[in-house]
Amino acid sequence: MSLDQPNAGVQLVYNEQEQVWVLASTGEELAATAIHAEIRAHATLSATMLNDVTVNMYTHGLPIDVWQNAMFTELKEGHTANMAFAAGGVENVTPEGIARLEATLAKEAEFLTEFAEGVSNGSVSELQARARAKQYAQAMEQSYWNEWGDGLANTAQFSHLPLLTQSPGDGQTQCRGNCQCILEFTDSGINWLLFPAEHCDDCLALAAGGPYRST
Amino acid sequence: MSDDIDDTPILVGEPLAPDEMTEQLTVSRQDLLDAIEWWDSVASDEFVGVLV
Repeated sequence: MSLDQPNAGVQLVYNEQEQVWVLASTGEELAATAIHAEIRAHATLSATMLNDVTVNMYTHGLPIDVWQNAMFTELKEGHTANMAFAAGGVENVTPEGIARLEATLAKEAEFLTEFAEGVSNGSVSELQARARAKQYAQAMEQSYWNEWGDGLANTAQFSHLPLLTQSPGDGQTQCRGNCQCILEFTDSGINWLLFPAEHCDDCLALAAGGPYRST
Repeated sequence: MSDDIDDTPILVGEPLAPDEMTEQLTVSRQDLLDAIEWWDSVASDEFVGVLV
């Protein structure tokens, strides 16, 4: 949805020039903290669904392959929606954005296959499986940040900065899907911000190591 | 009857192999439409409808 064509009742519109979501009533940019909170709320609901389907497998005989498909369907929808939100809506999604998303989904599918094998061979308990399912839901936030950061800080102005090669929740930090950090773009580059929570050593180092450039 | 109760869950079926998931790894126009529906089903009021 563009700034020029807000639908009745919609309170947020996407400013395509600035590539930010703004409040329709005031024109103020939507804060990254508000976006993070919304995506986290979605993840919480997804986590409930993923927990329920996992319990179903352990207690009601839902076949492992059906569970795996149900898990992936939910993850795919969540990752896709988060990517589309960062793009400013599905009409702004680019082939490059789709390619990034597909790469993320391929990685998640690989993790999920390993997870399913652990469930099948008994090396993952029900409680562990339920906790891990929750992390998959939280990790969906990475698809927002992956899309958000594309092209933001890739000009000569930022060429002296280290390249940011990861996103909050993408599993590359010790906190993995539990990551509560957010990213911020300023004239100095992209900063890794520690959102109120306990932080792992990797996130502390990332926060201290900025600002960054992006691809 | 034994006093020991085996509470090990009985799991059914086998995991999908990676190549059995290949088809799901591509993102189509329909997937984008499904994502809109997913988003709107869980979004707070001010975020509903923004992906369209």
